[in-house]
Amino acid sequence: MKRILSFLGIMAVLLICIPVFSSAFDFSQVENRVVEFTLKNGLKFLVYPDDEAPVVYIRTLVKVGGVNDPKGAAGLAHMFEHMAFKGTEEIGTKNLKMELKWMAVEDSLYGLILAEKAKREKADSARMTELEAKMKDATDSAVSYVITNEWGEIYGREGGVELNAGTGYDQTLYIANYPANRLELWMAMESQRFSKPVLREFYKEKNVIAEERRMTRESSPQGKLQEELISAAFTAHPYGQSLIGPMSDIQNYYRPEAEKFFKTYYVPNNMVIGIAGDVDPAHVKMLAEKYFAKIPAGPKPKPVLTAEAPQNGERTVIVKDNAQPVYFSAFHIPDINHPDFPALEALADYLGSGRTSPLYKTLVRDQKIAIAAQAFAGFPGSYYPTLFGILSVPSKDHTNAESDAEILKIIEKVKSEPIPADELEKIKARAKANFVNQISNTGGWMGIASQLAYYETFRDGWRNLFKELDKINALTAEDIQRVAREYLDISKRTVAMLEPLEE
Amino acid sequence: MRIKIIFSILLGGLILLGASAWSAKSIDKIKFPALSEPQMPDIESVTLDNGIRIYLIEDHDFPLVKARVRLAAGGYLDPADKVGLADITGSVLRTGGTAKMTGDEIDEKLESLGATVETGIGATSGSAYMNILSDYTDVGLEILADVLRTPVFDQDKIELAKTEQKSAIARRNDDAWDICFREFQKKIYGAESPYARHTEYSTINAVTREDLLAFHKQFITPENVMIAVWGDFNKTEMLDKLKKYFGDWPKGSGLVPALPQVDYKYQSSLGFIDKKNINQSKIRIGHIGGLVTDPDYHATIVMNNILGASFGSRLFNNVRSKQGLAYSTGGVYRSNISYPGYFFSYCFTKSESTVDAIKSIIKEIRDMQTVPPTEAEMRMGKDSYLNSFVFNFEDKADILDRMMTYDYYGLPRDFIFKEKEMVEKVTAADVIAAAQKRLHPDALHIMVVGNGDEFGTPLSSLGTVETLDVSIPSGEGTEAVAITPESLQKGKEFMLKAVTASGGIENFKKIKSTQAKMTLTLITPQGEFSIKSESFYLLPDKSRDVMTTPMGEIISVTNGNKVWTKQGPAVTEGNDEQVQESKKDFFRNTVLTFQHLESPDYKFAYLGQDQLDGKPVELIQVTSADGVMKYKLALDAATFMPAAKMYFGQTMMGPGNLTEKYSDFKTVGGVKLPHMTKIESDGNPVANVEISNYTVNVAADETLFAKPQ
Repeated sequence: MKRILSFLGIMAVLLICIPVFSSAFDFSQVENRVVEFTLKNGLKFLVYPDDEAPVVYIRTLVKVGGVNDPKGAAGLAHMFEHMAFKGTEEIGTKNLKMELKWMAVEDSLYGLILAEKAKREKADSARMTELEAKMKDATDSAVSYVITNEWGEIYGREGGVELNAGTGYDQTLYIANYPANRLELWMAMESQRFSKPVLREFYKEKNVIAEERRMTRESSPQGKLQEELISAAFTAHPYGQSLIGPMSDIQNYYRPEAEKFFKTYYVPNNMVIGIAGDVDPAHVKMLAEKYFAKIPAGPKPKPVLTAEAPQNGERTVIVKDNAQPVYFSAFHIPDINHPDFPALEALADYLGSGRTSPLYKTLVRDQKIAIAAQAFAGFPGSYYPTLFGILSVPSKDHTNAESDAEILKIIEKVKSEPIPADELEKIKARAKANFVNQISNTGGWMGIASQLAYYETFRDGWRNLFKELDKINALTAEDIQRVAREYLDISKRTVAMLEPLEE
Repeated sequence: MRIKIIFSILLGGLILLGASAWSAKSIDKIKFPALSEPQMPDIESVTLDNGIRIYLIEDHDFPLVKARVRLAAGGYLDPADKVGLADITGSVLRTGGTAKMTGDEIDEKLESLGATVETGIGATSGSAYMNILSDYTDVGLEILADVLRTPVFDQDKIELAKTEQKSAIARRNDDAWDICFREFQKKIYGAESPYARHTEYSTINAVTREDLLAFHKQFITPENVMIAVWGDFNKTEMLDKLKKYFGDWPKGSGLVPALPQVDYKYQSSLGFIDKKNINQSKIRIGHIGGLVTDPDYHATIVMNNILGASFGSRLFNNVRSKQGLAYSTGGVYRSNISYPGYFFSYCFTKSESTVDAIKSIIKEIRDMQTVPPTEAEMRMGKDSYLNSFVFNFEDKADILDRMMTYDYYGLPRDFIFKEKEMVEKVTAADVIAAAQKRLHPDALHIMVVGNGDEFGTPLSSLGTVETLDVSIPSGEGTEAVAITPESLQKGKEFMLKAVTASGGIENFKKIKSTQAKMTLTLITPQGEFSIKSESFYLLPDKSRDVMTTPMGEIISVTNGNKVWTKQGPAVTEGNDEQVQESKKDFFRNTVLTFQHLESPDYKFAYLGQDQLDGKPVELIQVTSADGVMKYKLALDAATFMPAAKMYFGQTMMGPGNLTEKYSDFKTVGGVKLPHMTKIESDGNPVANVEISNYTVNVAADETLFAKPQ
């Protein structure tokens, strides 16, 4: 079960699905605690004071993700996330001048290596060997000036916990939890990090990313399945691209390209910072001005304009591996800001949440053909037209085909009859309880600091966080039936299945 | 005068060290305001008359009420042949319904409120959890109380839980890291230890509803329950509610047994599991850990930060960043409260660098003993703990959980504050001393899961490799059989034929005791060993076996609920498990079985025809009336003579599927009894029993079955 739950956990991180909905508890008292301010360079801060414990939770959300990866460098957004821990001009180096000198040598050598690679079969292997040897020397020299992991070390030593980051398709989120009296340290370090990063150990970090790819995709049957599914469902839009990048792209990452990527997307007017905890908003503003105001704004990056054409037929992908079966089917739906989205989220909630949902009752409880079955709206990202997914994990001695058959019946039913009134009430009750739990959580990946930053960036303003419950409360059973009929078109779905290798 | 000079040299030395370690940075100039001390929330703690301990924190920020219940019961209480019993009990407590509501009704009720009540039991303890909007507090508390007090364990939900368990078994080799972790734990604690053992299909099959009821009755009782509640309520009112729902829960039979001790011997091993479909090896290296009451526990906290617990640690820096060998690496020396933790260091690396990564990790472990922590490392090692101390208090759930754990194990409530004070005093010398005492780089268990074909340098270059077979035993033949009137009737018919063929039920009923002189041949990988043995069975529940071994006589006596073994001067009394095994042995006794053909204590269900060594046999499932004891009897399809018995029992290698095959039948006291029995475990021959002299109804002296002196 742990593995399955972690698979679903991967989904959760990828989709930032927020079943947030408002209700009778006076949420305005929570809303009114938020203090917002924007620096001249466009960097917005959302501050939520909460003095339960002398700690502060900081969430930096950058509007860049897998969708923005350049062609030939898929996974660069994720690579950059790794680079953000390598330090700055003053953190992580014994001698910046020498380091930069050798890094420049590395870059020019690697440019030559790439040029030679581009000759494909005609590449001169002797020249390649020579360049690689020089490259190794340059890297060794550059690395000799590095203080490895000084960034993380300072952070840990000063009491920070949960220093981490996550890259999704739509966004990159940097999280940090600090004792409250270290806020200024965070300000100083974070402002340096996003104005003067040094992409040190770049060419070595590629090996680390390669290992991460091996761990999460190539050695993980479920990771492989995810990649195959999105690749089949999206033939044009970058939601179909591997988030971590294919191995060949990883091996070819080029630092100047990463620097260009950084300059394009990591501009203050493309970021929102959520801060929750034991802080005084006026003090936060003073520190923000002191450290972040001097970072110049940049041109606002363009959104992705590639649109996925309508899928005209059913697509099936089968991955055979030495593992137990997993079933995954997906339907195209609009993006999270579309008026139909709340009904789609409610539909997913109805179909698969809890032990009284049709997926659980039929597949898990009654027929025992699955040990887990879920539905979710907004996978793998949600800012662009996306997918509605249904996942099933067959139980021992049962098959993907069996899950598929039952799921199709459940879909037919939800299209042909509106859901009963008590089921609609359940959806609304669950939504309210989830919302209260989420906003009462100051920290965590999905606590209020993250939510505020997310809504500000992707949902047209942080105040919409507190309007979401109203949308759910306004839903009728007919709304849910309508979106089921409109979007769960079996003839246009994508199915991905993990099938065990024949013994 | 001398002292002064030394002092100033030292001081000078310190300043110099400081300057070289840190290049001046703008961030060094930042002055931090004083950190407020962590505020311990106001916790009301009360013990009810029936022993339940209660902990309450009021919090009116949000309209939520949450509860966490600590149950002292854990998987360590499972008998070896029913591993998974506690886990299943933990799930079905919640899903199986109560005296008032079915599981499905509880689901509907909670979901209509957006509320959760969940239960679970792990290896060393269990828990229940409630999360509900404060408007519905009473509904939640009532359900929580009912699932804990009066669960009914509906059979359907038991089947569901078993399906989940078996599906988890089926998937347990899908992920290489899971395999590595599991096998490593077995090396540390022992494969049979409750801290490392795991379920099998046969152990899950063996769990019955009676088992769950008995587990609940014995172990989920007020004296073993602690309840923490926090959220939007008034303390006095909440205490009244808890008294209402939990106050009249009758006490049970006492505290649960203590967690078992661990008897660890330091030794090395190099375990390997070949998994072809991955290109990254999972590696785990370590040995036993410590206890939080160890005098150098605080030094190990600092040591952990330096060695492998964080970003700036030696493992992270060297194995991941400098050598690019791993995305994921680290390690800690873990200390538990009541039984030793484990020390481990781990890494995931591409197949080709497996051996390099292992060497790299072992080097760091050795260096931890010989390379003193630098001032920067000490700073990092201590400060990362001290500066983040405040996070122990960020969450009321954590604070309450910690308090319940301390109370349960008898640690003082300010334990964590004392811990902090001790960490403040730790020196580099302390860290080195702890590393030298606690780390054993020459007695490491190494566990590798990877694709052996792609290792580059072979694993054998590191030592003798033990390749482990982790294939999942099929558990075939251990499924519970549905007993229907038809199968019972047919079973009886076949048994009658068997008794008749063997001499007739009247002759069997005349047998009060059996005596046998035999040669017992043990078949082991090291060869075959024969010993002489004599047995005296006084039916229905007394026996005496005397084995003559090269080490002297071994005498085993069973007398009802007592079991004794005498070897040399030492006499040991059997524990509950051994008494149970003895009872099962009697249950399976052929003479007793035949005597009970018409008794309600035995059920005979016909399973169908099967093959045994190429010959057709009729299979009968023999079960005790309460369903707890069972075995399968195979009758020769032509003669109806007993050909074999199959059952799940204890072997020298641990629990397994045993088969006894019978031949050389001779008449003794009017009945035919086998003079040759061949015993197999999971299909492999393990022993032969050849009887040279068989008698019945020899007069018995009661002293034969007294405790041996």
